[in-house]
Amino acid sequence: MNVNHRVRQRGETNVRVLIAIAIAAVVIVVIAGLLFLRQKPEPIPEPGQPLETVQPAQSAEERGDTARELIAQLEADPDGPDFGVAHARAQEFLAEGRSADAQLLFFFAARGGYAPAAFDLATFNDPNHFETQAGLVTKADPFQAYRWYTAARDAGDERASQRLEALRNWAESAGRSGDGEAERLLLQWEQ
Amino acid sequence: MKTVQLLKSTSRLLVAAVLAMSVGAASGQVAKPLLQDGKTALYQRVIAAPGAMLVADPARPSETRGVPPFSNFYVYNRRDQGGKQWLQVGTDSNGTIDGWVDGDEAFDWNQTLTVAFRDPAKHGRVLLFGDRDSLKKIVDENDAASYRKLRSQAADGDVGGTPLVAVQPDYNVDIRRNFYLVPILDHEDVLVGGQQSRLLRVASVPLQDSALIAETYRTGIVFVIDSTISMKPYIDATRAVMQRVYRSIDDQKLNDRVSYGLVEYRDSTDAVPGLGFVSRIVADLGGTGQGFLSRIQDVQPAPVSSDGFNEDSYAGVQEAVSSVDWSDYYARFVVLITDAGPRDATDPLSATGLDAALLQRLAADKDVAVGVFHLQTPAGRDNHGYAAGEYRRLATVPDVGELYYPVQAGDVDEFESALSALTDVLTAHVRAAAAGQPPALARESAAGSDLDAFQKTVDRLGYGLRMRYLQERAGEGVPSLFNAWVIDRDFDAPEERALDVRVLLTRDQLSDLHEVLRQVLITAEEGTLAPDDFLDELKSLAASVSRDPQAARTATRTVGGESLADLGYMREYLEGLPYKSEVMYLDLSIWEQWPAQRQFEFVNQLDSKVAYYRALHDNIDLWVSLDGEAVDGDSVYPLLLEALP
Repeated sequence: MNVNHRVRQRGETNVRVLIAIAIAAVVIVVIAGLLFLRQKPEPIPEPGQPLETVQPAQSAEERGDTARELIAQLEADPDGPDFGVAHARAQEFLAEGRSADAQLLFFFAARGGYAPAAFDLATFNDPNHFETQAGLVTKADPFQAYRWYTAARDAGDERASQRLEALRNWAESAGRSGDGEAERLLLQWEQ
Repeated sequence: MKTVQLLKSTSRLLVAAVLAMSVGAASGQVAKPLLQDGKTALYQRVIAAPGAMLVADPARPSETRGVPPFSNFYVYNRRDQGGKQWLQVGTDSNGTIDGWVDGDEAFDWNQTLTVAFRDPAKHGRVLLFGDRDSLKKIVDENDAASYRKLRSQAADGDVGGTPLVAVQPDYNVDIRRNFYLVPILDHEDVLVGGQQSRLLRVASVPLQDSALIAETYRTGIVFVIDSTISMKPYIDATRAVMQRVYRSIDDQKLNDRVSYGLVEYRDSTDAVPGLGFVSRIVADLGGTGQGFLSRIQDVQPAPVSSDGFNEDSYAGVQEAVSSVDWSDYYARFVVLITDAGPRDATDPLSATGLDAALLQRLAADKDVAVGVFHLQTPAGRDNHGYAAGEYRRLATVPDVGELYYPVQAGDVDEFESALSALTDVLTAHVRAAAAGQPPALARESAAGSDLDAFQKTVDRLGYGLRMRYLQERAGEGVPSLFNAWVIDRDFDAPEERALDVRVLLTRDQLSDLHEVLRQVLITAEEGTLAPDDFLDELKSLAASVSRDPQAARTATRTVGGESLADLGYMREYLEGLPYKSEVMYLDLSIWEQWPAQRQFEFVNQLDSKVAYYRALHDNIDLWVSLDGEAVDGDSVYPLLLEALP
């Protein structure tokens, strides 16, 4: 048995342990220093509320980047945006299943006062005409239907008046069944 | 078993003259109520307990005025006097002071939360427990069986030895149509059947057996009609109105709840013997509708004219007050219909020797309210001023107002409309009483015309009478206030609310909320189309919409993010309310990375609320004026917590 060899080995191990401890100590000191130097968080006023977060989009398509670029281009037109182009592209995107881009462009055109886009946007949200297959929104939103039918009607789309009447009938029926959202919507006709 | 009395909260209905004090008059500034601790724009609010009295001066507390239970007040001052704390209170925030109330007779109600019961036909009736621990134990143990058993006992009226003190009424009252108050004094979060729920401490008032009350509340109305020669068109109009009224009473099977009588009067037969009589009862109360209509058919104008323009209307009123048998009727009305001024106490041809004030007192002593339709025909032009003064005094109902209605130019159609309005309102109260419904005022609306104002006065009178009746029948003069504990979900259907928690927002607060959110909405809509600048735009906007730069620092914060609340959009009047905001605590710091669909959800939530607030604000009929006056910025609406942003 080579005793010296064993002793030397033990000595090397001790050195490694010491080095490891020293490194760990330095890391701890650095971390502690960073923690110490880091600005203390502000005290949370009572009662504190938990912050709710939204997960970032997983892709440019989910963000609707393409539609936004198109919107920026249309808005840069010195003659004003061509909402007809926006509406046409919205329909194309919808057909391609790119709902984020489609929704942004429908909204852009409808908000700009383009009646066909407003009518389409209302239809997508209309509980009387809601179809999951349309793919633009995941559930009907009667307030949005009201808003955009009204905009379409005011912009001259005659179909919108009939749709509004049908929407009112839906709201009256749903309100009688205790649907609070429908009851609130009915107030829009009572102004 | 007691049910809960749903009290319409008004502040001045039964308060006689306003004990107004010109606070701040010397300085020319309008006094403002005291602020709540730590708030910059939220005033201290209290509710009067049953039996609370207002005094003009705490140093002389013997001079008192009663206030209806649950009257709402702003607190303008607090003072220790005679070992008690006194609160100087007013019904609005604009410096109108009503007087001082003993601090023991008012309780804090700063969050203005109230319970709205849901339709008991669709949900189990809510049980009110006399102590928190009994209810909390059932909740903690999720002991649906015990709760169910208690409800069954409550329905049978067998609650001896149980912790129950009351149960929700078995009929539906829509708080948006018939406003009532069950104030929430405290709340805590609990779980019921796995659902987030609220355990509430409420203030309430017991209602005795509503069926018995409905049975014994009867209304008597006696018309006193001038049957001198000029009155024929109005007698015919009265007959036409009464035919409709009786048809309506028959249809609604209210014949034993309301009765009409008729007294006709002319003038002194000493001066003009041809008049035949001064006054006489044509139809007493208690007869049939057919009998009344038949008798009114017999009323014919006198064949000769009276002496001068004044006539002895007071004789007719006195006849109605003193000679009619009112004993079966709680609500008592005399309605004078005349085109001439009265003969007052100084007139030698007066058969009564009474002036307006004495006659009014005589009527009030018998609990009779006198209303007057003054037909201001062109022929009596010079007499109208005198007559109006007298009749207004006669028609004054303490704590309510004047039941006086001048019919311009003696227009027969207008008279018919006004008489119909009067009978409609009174019949509505009779119908509600017969149905066992709690007293409620008709929807508040701006008094657009004299007729609207008159109708509202009649309504207030009918409401006040019903309130008084209930309070008297409750046992000890005024109903006793009690604390009760309830939960807002039912063990049998925990996924649905058994009651709603609503917050009374003032119209000014809703207006503020609408304006702030409207601007946020515009910014957010632009932020969906061009998201990069959204947060900076929102921060800039926050600086301009915040009334107080401190607000952003004092408002409820989130932890470590940038939400609307962090940016200062949380309004003081929303802080601490027991609801989960859909938009206020969302972290917007990575808005540009959100999926577009999520951005639209955020925008659409804001959009629907902004549209709703606007519609609500603009719909005057929905607002309740707690001081009984026209709708203004202090008027309130019981908004569902879920409808808050």
